[in-house]
Amino acid sequence: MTATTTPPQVRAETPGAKPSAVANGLVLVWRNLKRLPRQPDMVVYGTIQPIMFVVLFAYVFGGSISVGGSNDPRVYREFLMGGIFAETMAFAVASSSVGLADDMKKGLVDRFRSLPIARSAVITGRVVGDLVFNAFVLVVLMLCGLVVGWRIHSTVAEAALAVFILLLFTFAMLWVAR
Amino acid sequence: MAAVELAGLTKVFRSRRESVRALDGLDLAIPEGTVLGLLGPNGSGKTTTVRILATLLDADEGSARVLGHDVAREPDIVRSLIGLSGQFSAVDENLTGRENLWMFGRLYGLPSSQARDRAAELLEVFDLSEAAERTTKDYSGGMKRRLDLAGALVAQPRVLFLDEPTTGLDPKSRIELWEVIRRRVREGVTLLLTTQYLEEADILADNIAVIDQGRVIAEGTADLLKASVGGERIEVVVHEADQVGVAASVLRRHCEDDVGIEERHRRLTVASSGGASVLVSIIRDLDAEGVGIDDIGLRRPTLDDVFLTLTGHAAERAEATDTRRGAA
Repeated sequence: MTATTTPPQVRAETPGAKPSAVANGLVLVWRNLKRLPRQPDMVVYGTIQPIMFVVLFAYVFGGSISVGGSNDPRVYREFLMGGIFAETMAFAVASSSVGLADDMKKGLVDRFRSLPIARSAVITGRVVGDLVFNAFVLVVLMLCGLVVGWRIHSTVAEAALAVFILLLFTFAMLWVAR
Repeated sequence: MAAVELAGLTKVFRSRRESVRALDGLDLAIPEGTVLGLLGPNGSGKTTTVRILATLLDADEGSARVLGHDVAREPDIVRSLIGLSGQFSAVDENLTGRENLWMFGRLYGLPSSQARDRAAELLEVFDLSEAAERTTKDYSGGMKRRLDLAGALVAQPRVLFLDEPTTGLDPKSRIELWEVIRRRVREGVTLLLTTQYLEEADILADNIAVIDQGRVIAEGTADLLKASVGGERIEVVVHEADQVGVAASVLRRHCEDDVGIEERHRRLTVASSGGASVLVSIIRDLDAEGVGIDDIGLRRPTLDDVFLTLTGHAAERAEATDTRRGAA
């Protein structure tokens, strides 16, 4: 080990200065996003599973399910995608809770709580980080939907509103995971 | 003013069936710039004490102050003054060493560029520069602990809490970590160190507080504590079981105190104040009587003896430490 040099005076702000919830939260969002490319198994699991559901229901079960008296599989697929979107976003709760439980087990949450940071930052960091990941999953799913025959019939603005509502729903569900 | 002051600290953990009194009126004071070793068996309240001081847990009764600030009333101020390194290596496994330290720096409120400089500096000091760009998932246990400790030092805390910093490390990593800790202490950090390794407290701490069942049962320097158990002792292991009697009479000739005999181990012990010269005459006499000696020596009381005498039950880890030391 090298000889210790006397470190320059780096003191965290004035002691007791009110920590910034936004700045702290952003650092922890950064941490939660940084791990995604380094845990490819998690990313793959999170995206492959909903795609599998789409394929399974659209092609395997779809043929024997009638929607509104129509046996046309294309009608069912339109109907199906709405359900898959909602289901996938709701299930985001599971991986999010596992992530938080892991942080608690490894003592990371304790460490964060012993730092002079905003109390909300630990949770905000995770919720916002997971929300970004789920927005990515939603895009993948929509592309997948377009491939199997799902279409946007309304205006762009209305579609954007639908995506917003879905993400709002995800956000709400992520808080349930806490 | 003491850097850390605990007065009548009490914490009871209640579950539906039972309540456990983890802390039972703990009093402690650590003068600024000194190292206190908090020594106790598993479940004696060491970690609870640290968690209360680090504002992670509320005490039921009593008060805890860090540099004059009450942990319950001014937790934000306390958090900005302390560094904590717990029993686990609490670093993010998906981040690199450098990213971990940068993150802690940012969370302590350093601007990004300062956090980056500080991370580089600490990586250097803790001999982690080469591994800086690897995710900590791939770090060894010793490296993770060093990084964890570095994380606690990012904002140059004036008070440092280390909860069993070397538990689970191999002997080489332990010695390296001790060296790092000692350097910090020389720079004037006040340190509260909990440990179940008596050797660790002996090496690092200025003062030692032995706690058991949530109270301090003894306090003082290592030498003072050792002296409280008694002076030096001579220990003999004879070769043949039937020579124990002869050996005992030889020992009685040289020492006034009662001779302790463990028949099964053919071991005799006696308190002696004569030092090495008495030891030499005993060896000569034993030889003259034709007693074969397997082992003989002058033994100073260790902290293990202190511990055993004070708590009445063995330090659970002491044995494991000895075996490991032997293996190394």
